[in-house]
Amino acid sequence: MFRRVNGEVMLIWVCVCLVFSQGQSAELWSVRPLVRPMLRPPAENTSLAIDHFISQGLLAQHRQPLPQATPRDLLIRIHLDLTGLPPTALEVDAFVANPGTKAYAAVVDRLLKSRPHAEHWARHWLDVARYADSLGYAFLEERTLPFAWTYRDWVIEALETDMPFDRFVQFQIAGDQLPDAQPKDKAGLGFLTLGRRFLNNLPDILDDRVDVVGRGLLGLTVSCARCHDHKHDPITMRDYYGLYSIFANSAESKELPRLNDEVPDVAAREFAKEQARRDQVVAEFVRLRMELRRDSFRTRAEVKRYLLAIHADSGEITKLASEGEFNPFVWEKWKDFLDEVPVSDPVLGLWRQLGPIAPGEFSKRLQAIDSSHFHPLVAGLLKPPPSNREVLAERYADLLVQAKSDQNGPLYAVLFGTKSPMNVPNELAGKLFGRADRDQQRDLQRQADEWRAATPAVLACAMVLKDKSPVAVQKVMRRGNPGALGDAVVPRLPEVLGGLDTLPFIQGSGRAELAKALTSGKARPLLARVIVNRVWAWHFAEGLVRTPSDFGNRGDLPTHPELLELLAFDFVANGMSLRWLHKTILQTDVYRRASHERGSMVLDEVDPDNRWLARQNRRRLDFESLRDRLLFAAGTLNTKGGGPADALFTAPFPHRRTIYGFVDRQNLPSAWVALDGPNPDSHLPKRTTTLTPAQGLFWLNHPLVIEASQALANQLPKATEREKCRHLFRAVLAGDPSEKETTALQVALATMPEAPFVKRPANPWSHGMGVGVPGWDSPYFAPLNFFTGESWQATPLLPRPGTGKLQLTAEGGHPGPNPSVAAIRRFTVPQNGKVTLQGTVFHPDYRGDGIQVSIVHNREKIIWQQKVHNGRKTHDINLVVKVGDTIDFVTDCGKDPGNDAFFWSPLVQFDSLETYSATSGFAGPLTPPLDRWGLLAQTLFWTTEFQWIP
Amino acid sequence: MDSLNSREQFPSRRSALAQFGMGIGGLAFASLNSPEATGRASSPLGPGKNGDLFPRPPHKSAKAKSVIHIFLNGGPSHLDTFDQKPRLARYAGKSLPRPNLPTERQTGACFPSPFRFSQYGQSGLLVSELFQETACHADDLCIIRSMKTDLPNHEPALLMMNCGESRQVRPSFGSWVLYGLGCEAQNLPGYVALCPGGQPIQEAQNWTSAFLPAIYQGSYLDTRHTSPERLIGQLRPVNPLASQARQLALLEQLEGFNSPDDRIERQRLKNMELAFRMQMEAPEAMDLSKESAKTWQLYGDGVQARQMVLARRMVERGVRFVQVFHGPGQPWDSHDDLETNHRRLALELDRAVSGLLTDLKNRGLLESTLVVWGGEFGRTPTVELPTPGSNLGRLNGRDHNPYGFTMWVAGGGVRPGVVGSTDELGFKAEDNPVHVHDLHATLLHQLGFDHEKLVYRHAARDFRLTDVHGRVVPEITG
Repeated sequence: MFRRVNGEVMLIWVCVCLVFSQGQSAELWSVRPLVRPMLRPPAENTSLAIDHFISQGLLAQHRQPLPQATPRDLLIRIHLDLTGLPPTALEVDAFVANPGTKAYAAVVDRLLKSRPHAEHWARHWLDVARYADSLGYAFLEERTLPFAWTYRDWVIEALETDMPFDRFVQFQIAGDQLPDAQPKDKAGLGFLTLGRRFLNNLPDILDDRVDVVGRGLLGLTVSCARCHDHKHDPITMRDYYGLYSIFANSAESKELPRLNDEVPDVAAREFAKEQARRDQVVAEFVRLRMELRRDSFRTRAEVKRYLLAIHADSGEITKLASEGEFNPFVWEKWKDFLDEVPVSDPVLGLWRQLGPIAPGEFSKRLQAIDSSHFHPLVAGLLKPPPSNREVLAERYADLLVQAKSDQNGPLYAVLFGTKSPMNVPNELAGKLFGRADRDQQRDLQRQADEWRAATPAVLACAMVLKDKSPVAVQKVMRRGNPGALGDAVVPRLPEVLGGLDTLPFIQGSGRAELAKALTSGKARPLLARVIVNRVWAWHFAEGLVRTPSDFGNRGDLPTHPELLELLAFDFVANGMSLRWLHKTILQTDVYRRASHERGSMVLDEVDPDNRWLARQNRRRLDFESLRDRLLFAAGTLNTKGGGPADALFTAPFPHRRTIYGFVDRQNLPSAWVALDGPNPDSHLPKRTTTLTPAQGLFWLNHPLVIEASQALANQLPKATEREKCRHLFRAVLAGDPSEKETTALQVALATMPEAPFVKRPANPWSHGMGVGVPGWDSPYFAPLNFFTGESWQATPLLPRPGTGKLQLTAEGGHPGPNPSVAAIRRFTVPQNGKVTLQGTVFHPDYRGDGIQVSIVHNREKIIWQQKVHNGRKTHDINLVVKVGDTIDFVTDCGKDPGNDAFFWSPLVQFDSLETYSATSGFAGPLTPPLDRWGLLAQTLFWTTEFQWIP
Repeated sequence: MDSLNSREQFPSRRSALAQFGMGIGGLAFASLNSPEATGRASSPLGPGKNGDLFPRPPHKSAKAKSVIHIFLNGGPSHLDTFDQKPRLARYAGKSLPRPNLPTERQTGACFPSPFRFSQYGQSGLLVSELFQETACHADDLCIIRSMKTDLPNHEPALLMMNCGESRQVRPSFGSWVLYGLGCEAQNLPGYVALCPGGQPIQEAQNWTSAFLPAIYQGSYLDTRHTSPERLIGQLRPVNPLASQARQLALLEQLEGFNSPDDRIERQRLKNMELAFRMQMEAPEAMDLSKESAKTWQLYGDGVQARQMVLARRMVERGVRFVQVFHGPGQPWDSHDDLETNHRRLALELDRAVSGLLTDLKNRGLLESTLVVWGGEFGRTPTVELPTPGSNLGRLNGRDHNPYGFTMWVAGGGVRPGVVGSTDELGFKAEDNPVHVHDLHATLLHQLGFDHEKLVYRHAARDFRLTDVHGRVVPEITG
């Protein structure tokens, strides 16, 4: 097939016979072997071949592509696309002066090897991996995943070193087991382990792992087959549970391997020691209390009570329960225990027969008992004949309790043996613990976990999985119900990927074999198609397949099937190098096309979605790039990479790149949501872009934007106004303004009102913490330095060692983790006079021991002090004060550091009637209005040119 | 309706900008709502399946256009409020005639309601003393006495009620409604979740948009706060409005130089103007200090009254979905001391709810507003046994009951009356059971949607609020 166009021989493709079918099919197009489409004349160069296929598509549509983007747009585009950061104006100048192919290739090469490139593209992959630093909703557990960042850093390093994609995938499945993995590759397992925890419901946790492998790596919605065979794709429940079994046999381990083999410094060693101590405290507490708890059910009175309870109806049970502590779990255990006992049992057979008998029948039934086969001691219980079941239960209880001394006797087993209802393992402490024990255990556990959340980087561990031993056989769960088990399955790949042709996985959980299988055989072409399509989509805003995580029958078909085949084939042929892939795509004409015709209002009626790529797509910067570009333009970006995460929106704002921000899966910051930051609930196929007033408010008023605007304005050189306008424009938009633009800026500057001098209205309230001795007669006041928008805190992320959850909000707060670290709301007296101090302290939690609150006057010392626990205390105090006096409203944790959130918003009223309320006096750090230059800078941040990729 | 709305907005908008020295020719005045601005079906935001908030008609004619969901989180007892069971007295302190159904914890003997019931309205509806003021609206309420849900634990039941699925992260009811109908409010979020002093358990997952675009997510407002700036982030202008107005004029110039009439630039500019106006108008909407003494007489005082007034003001201004939680955690969860706890909680709520219904009615808003009242499940007719570590073991509370409970709906075109019933002991929905999925289907029906057709493609399938379940209950729709 040759075709002549304009007298030139075009590259003509020979059809790869892909049959695309829309209906249900036994085989998917996406899993067929890769065949490189034949081109004539043969095109070795992949970039040229790409352009060829794009041209074919446009030709068929009779469409003309847009011309190449301007050199300036192009340079900005490749910088933002490859690194998430813009070029400097000087870099643009240089490229515009010499925009040749060679210069372009050199820039691309340089960017691809840069750290910012690895950071930006790692973030793309973190969407696939549903990355977060917290486990999602948990009732009382600590939610921080303290080591999630080790996975994030591993991904960045893998991209920085251009790790071949197949190895990249393998290490994320089994970086702990594969022989060619290095110790640090264990961190790759975060891909599986950092998902949501669904209140620790295991089938949901494992489903999330099947899904991230299914949709994330293979572009197959395997999870659809959890409850029934897939409705549209050839994936069965057996396929689903085959994969599921691999993860079901890979358990999370409490002992995580350290990643860094550096010898920890003294501080880190101390930290580790303290961690071990805290973990030990929990274990020891549980061990000791459980021994006591078990024994408490082995007393004569309790044994009698539960023997009687076994046969009680709900009315009688309620009565029994009202007479003393009653444990339904132990009750159930007793019932189950007795159910297993035969009527002829020499020990409990007698109770089996007489226990359920109603009072009126008792004597009659008693006479009918044949006691010959009972243990002599049990038979002895009938002498003299008991008058009713209570008496019998009492005698039984005596007998069983006394059996403790005779370990070999047949009676010992009932209360002390391994199958005894009392033999509840320590792991089930929650079932025996009373409220006080349970709360104390949780507090101790929380203290251990809080400490772990602040682990120094040098001690960080990989979030690995450990194969269970022995391996459990997995069965199909009918309708996804763990209680309705069906046939056993073997661990393997889904059949459509050749799972049945190959041997089932046999080593441990099968995870290492899965890692290999995903990157070889029938899975390999699919893996390649899915990733090249993702990369294409991240470069063009849309993939060749527009459902990037669904390559099944219900997903979109590729717009350019041959192009996808070619790209996938050559990607594999080039060692699955992502760097090669980027470079190849960036060398194409289609990538370099203009994205829109400036000033043209004409809508693309024929191809509004730009499926045929007559132009590049114009895209808004993603959330991360918006924030990064803002800091970059302001000159405040901190390029330090790696390590534990920062609280992005806690003032003073951290200035590292957004990828290093803490991702709280359950409560994403409002700016994150407003600017379309990624949703880490589950695997995210692609981002959405929205336009909402909340975004407008962010750009108008968010302190981060204000801070950046003023920072930039402050850096302007001393020069003429016009020169300064030009400088500003170049700093924000990386290029020279036109004459008209400079004039517009200059005119606007002239009309901008000078920033009003804002003296913050004198605010007598300040927020701090006191470190001192309990008693608080002379607290030392240190201001709290971090403001989240809701609270002043001792540290940007809570909790942290030393200060715990210490914070103050408009209405209350939380004290520190021991009685000598208190939260202090300070009132500095603005005038002489008499005041009344009014307020109510409210501590809402019944757990723990509550808090201690004090009001401390700098001259009169402690003028009021109370303990508040699960209730309210009110104060109404008269005091004579002088200007400059301080009145401190101090809250400490009491003896016990847990459950200490409180509400306390005092009011200071002068006899001259001025009133100062702590709530209205609560404010964040002052964000002063911008000066005229700051306003100009801010306006430039609002432009489409700044927020969109050209 | 939409274009009318935009015309009404016109003068206030023009005057707002003119007030700050903006030339009338300086800005494009078409509303964001107008078709001219929205363009064609393809998204103005570039490629991809992106959402917008423009108001749009539902599948069919609708009776309701907004929802106020009063959520008594923790699980109020139906037996002590709207579902009297005289037969319980017979078994007081004794076993029920049949085994107790398994619930979260063990329960024991029968526990009759300690509250007095009276008849209200023409229909003679039986309501306990706890909700005697709400009961004055007896003839407007559609009482569903045969509600049921799947699981007896708070987290899954709360998610089922809010998102139609117990465990997985799925879009909330409010998000679906916003996705389906868009928002009429120009200066307020389209979907808000109110809760004073903290969030219910499961937190933001209760109003998540999950895989729907993030704009359909509920905005959480902590109604402990009274100042609008504390209710909505970044609402307080840092720079003087006069400066901002000049910045917007400059922005328009700069955008114009590059692309005189490009749709993206135009949309973005309008969005900035909208945010600019919101700084002035949203505080007005949320400022309760202007409400008259009469209002507070109607609603009572306290935070529940404040929440209900706020809910009414929002619906009045075109907010699509308002969810009002009673308080953080699970306040209605009376495992112990049910009598004192329910009495205290009802006292906080009763007048506020009654006031809301009266007020909506007086303002002609009740016809188009679905007011939904209830918890995530009901409570057992049997007393909860002590569970060490979990309750106080006082034997005077009730456990969770997913088998049968009561909710009511008012307004939005529903038919007043009683739907379904529980068995004679109040343990299980017996006559005409209404699953949460059915309630969702029915409420969507009132909003003009076929619940099987309000779908969103995600992970290879069309998801919907009711998953593969749900039936519209004709006794509710009238």
